[in-house]
Amino acid sequence: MHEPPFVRDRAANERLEGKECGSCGYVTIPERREVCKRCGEYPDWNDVQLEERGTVQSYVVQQRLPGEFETPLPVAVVDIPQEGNGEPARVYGLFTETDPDDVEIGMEAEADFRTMFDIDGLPVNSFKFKRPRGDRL
Amino acid sequence: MTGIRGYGAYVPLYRVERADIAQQHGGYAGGETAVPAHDENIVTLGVQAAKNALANADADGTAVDAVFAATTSDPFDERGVAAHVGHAVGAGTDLRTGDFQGSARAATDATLAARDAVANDCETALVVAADVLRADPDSDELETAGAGAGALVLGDEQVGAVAETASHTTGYVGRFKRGDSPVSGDGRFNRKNYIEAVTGAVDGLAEGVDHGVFPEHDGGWGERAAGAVGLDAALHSTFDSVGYAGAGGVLLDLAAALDEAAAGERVLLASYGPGGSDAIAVDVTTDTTPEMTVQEYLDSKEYVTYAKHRSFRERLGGDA
Ligand SMILES: [Zn+2]
Repeated sequence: MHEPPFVRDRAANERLEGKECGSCGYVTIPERREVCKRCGEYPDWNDVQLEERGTVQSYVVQQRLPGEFETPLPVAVVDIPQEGNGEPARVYGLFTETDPDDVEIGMEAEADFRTMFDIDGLPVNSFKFKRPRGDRL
Repeated sequence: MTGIRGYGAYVPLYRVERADIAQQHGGYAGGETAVPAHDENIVTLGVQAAKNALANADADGTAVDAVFAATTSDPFDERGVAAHVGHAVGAGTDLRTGDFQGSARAATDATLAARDAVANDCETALVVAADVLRADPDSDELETAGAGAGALVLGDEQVGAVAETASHTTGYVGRFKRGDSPVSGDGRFNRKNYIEAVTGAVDGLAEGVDHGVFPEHDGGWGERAAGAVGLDAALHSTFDSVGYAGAGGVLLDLAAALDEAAAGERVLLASYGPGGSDAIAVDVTTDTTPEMTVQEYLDSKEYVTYAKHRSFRERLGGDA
């Protein structure tokens, strides 16, 4: 069974559940930490639900990647808002189905549930970003 | 009557024109076929449709008490789909599940099981049907082996209700597929069995129907089945844009009909696959559509070349 390494983080990887620092409000996903990266405290971590969309803060276009990736592939730093109040989570994510020419800083990206990789043929699914489907109408 | 609380659909972005496939392999079929991206599979397609249906139902994943999933293209003998959809929508660990496979009829098997669960002690049941049809590059099915998904949320009567149902089990196999090879088996569509099974199921429910949904393995079969039972209704099919999408296509086409149906109208859905057919009459009570309608999914598309479509299919390999 290959699942155990991923089981612990499945709520983050499959549902975009983040952890919010009870001391300073910093949101982390998918890593779980004891010490807050920003304030250095050992806070209580609150569960927060993130939205399935975000705003591109910066990006690069990867030209050379292993065969299982589509290239050229935009890879971006994206701020994902919480449902409700609180700070957004800043993540580093892959794009899918998106022409690099259609990516720009400040654009709204949709977060879509996709296969990240597979283990012995078993797909491991999580989130990738894409140009919103509705923009193609 | 069991209520329908919401519905939704999903169609992949990419399309291949069937004429491009015909150019490589001979034959000609009009229209286009939906091709999943290299990082899509039956679970991700099903999750997309499920989220759209839950949003249409104005429901959170935590409201879901049961997930019933249907597919004809699960490459795994052991894994299932329902539990993975349930986890991805946040249905909680007390979730009941059911996986229905082995026939495109699985879409209505799952829907009827959900109806029965809601009639018993389950408040809200999510039905998901998703397929990514595989086809050998040399087979006639390559042109129309499609991909798509549909979902229903059963429970409160927000969008409509399951009014009447009927089943017609013939035991005929017709189409079949062995093991993990798309080459073996007989993918051909048996016309006589189709008409017998579908008309047998819908015959008693054909009165007062405004919209009809019949599975199409090939163009024009919905009209023939409707004609055979004298059904005078608007027919809805995504076959020309998506191709044949097995159980996923059954609930995708139902979503296309519900998008168009007005409050007070009746939609008649028929499934067909090895073993027989089920018919479900849905009475629409509210004019509502999901955020993305089926037509919007069909219109927002990107064409891929024959070669790229082949590489997507090959990459799908075992993890369709
Ligand atoms: Zn902090």
